[in-house]
Order: sequence, then structure tokens, then C-alpha cells
Amino acid sequence: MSVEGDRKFGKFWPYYGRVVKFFTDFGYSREEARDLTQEVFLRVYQRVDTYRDEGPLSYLLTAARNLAVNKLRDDHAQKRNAVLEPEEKLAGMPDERVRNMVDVMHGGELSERLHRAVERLRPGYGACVRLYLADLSYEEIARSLGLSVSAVKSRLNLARKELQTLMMEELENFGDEP
Amino acid sequence: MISKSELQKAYRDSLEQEQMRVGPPPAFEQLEALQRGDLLEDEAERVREQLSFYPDLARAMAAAMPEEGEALTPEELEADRIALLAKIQALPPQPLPFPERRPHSRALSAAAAVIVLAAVGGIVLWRATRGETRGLATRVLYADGQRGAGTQTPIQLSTAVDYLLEPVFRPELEYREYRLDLIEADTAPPHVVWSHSGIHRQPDGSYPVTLSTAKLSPGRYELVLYGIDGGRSARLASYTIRVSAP
Repeated sequence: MSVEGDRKFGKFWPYYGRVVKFFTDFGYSREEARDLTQEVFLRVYQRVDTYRDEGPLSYLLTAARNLAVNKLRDDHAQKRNAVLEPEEKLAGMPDERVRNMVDVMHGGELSERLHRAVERLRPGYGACVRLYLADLSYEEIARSLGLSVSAVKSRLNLARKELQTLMMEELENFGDEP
Repeated sequence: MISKSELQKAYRDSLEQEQMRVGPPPAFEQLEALQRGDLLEDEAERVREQLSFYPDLARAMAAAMPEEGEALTPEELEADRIALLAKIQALPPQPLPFPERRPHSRALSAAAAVIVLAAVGGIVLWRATRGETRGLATRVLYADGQRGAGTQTPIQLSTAVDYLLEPVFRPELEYREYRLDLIEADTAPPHVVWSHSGIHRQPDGSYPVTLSTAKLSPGRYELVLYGIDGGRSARLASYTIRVSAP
């Protein structure tokens, strides 16, 4: 790396602890968070020549989010492969894991109907409802979906009314074969 | 009456099943483009919809940098600094921009320097006399078939500005280098109007390249990404583009 690159990289080091905290806030252990932070800094080092003084914190935040998202995507990919294992393979697994997997594969009737009702909401509303049901705050929903908080509130408000009607329709048939 | 907590439990119970149904979550590059407002509305809604099945990813994208750092002891901080330096030193050397360097004679180098200086001087003089500087806009491009379900909306570019294009694609095989060709699609037969080789894949899966649109005719184009390895080249992805006059 160039001397200029070294100078730029030096600007990032004071924020090391904040990146560790980013990951511990996200549920990682302190040790895992330090390992992930090392990875973030290593990536920043490799790309520091493209850094245009846009602010080390926002640059680090992007790199940390990138790593977190890619790690979660890998976890999901692994989970998908695990769930795809044939049922006979489940026999050798601990009871709790088998129960979880069977639940996942067969699903509950209410949850299936809820998902179906959310699916029928008008475009753009379902995404807000799903994240709301996953317990994200309005601000988190807005930031992640690239919307304003007021747009999220308005979509949720209208979706709530639609969902009431749709769920009534779904619940009228509750217990019937889908 | 079903309570919110009952709905949440019901939702969680079959979330993994729903994730199986809808497929993998969007890539980071798509989520970043969504947050920046760089996606067309149809594409933005499609990415939002897909992301909503993955609340953990949505949380990661919404997370801000904490105001305070983790309270690391000076020993931990020093240990991490040393470990990081060791990792940096273990990194492979950066690839040279050209595969090999040939020895040049002094006269050839001097002639090349004169030509470069004359060209740069000419451009500066031309720009100064024209009194205008073209702007540079960045566009993250997603390959055809990955931008939205069903319809294939072309990526819109204008002849008024130049672009730093960042086509995104994750090939199954790694190639030594990559090439991008821009093909004018409205002509018969379609022909290559611009080509850039020696491109290297960035860690985020993009292949950044600068494209000047000043001399492009308005119309439909296809940007094609090739993987190059020795004498072998493979077409990897294409990006439909529409160039329009301001």
C-alpha cells in the first residue's frame, strides 16, 4: 500500500472499539465480535485506496453491515440445506432439533394462514407487516427498507385494516383443509 | 380476537418455511442500493419484499454505529492491533495492473511521455475552451434476470454525464481477469461500441469501470461481462441499458 494509503488507514483505528460494539450489540460474543472486527478492518485496509474521505465511521459502518449481512446469508444458506435433509436423517439428531425441524417442515395452521393473508396484502404493505411482526421498530423498518418512518406507519395502518378483513376470511375457514 | 404476541408467534413458527419458499435473501449490494434510493421503484419493492422474510438482515441493515465503543482493555486492544498487523502482512501482494512489464528503451519512454503530455494538454485545453466539465455518476448494476421478476427493465443512463459503473455478479468460477463489452443492440447486426479489459473483481463482487456516454447514440445497449482465463473467455452476465439524451 502507498504512504497515502497508510495515512488513510490510520484514520480508522480510533473507531476499532465501536465496530466491536456494533457486533456485540448484534448478539455476537465479545470474542466473536473482535474476530469480525478484525475482518472488517482487513477489508478496509484492502480497499483503502478507494476511500475518498467520506468519513471513516460511515465507511466502517458499510463494511461492518456488509460482513454481518454476508454472514447471515451464509447462515441462512446452511439452514436451508439442513432443512432439506430427508426426514430419515433426522432420526439420529437430538429430540429438540427434530421437533424444530418437523415444526418448520409442517408449519402451524394459524401461521400458514397468517402468511397467506399477508401475501394477499397490496404490494409494498406485506414487507412492513412482516418486519413489524418480527418485532422491528418503525425506525428499523424504515431504515432497512429505504422508506420514511411516516411511510412505514401509514402502510402499517392501512395494512392492519386490510389484514383484519383478510384474517376474518381466513379464520372463517379455520380448521378446513387448505 | 388474536393478540399481537399470538400473531408474532404464529409468524415466527413458519418463518423458516416461508424463507425456503421465497429463496435466498437479497445480496448486500442490492440492499445498499435500496437504502441509497438507487433502485427503480418496481425493483425496490421486489427487494423490500424479499428482505422482509429475513428480519435479521433487515436489522443488520438498520443498525447504526454505536455512540460508544466496546470497553476493551489496553491489553486486548494491543493484542488486536498486533493480530491485525500480522494479517495485513500475510496478505498476498496486490496484482499488477498489467500482466507483465517489458523493458522499454529510453527513447521509447521519452516519446510515450511526450504523447501522454500532449494528449493531457489537449484535453485540458479542449475542456477549458469548451468551458464545461462532465459530471460523473455512480451506478450499481444488477444483471438481467436478477433485477426483478418477470419484466426486464433496462438500466437508464444519460448522455449528459459519465458513469462509474459497478456491475455486480458472483460467478461460480473465479477468472484471472474480466472484460466488459458494450454492444449497441438496435443496429443490425448488433456491434461492440466499447470494450474494457483487464478488470479485476472487487471483494464486494463488483467490476468497477468508467464509461463516457458523450459519444453514444441514444438507444438500447447490452453490457456484457466476460471472464477471461488465458485464451479462454466465458460470457457471465449481461445488463440491458437504455441511453437517452438529456
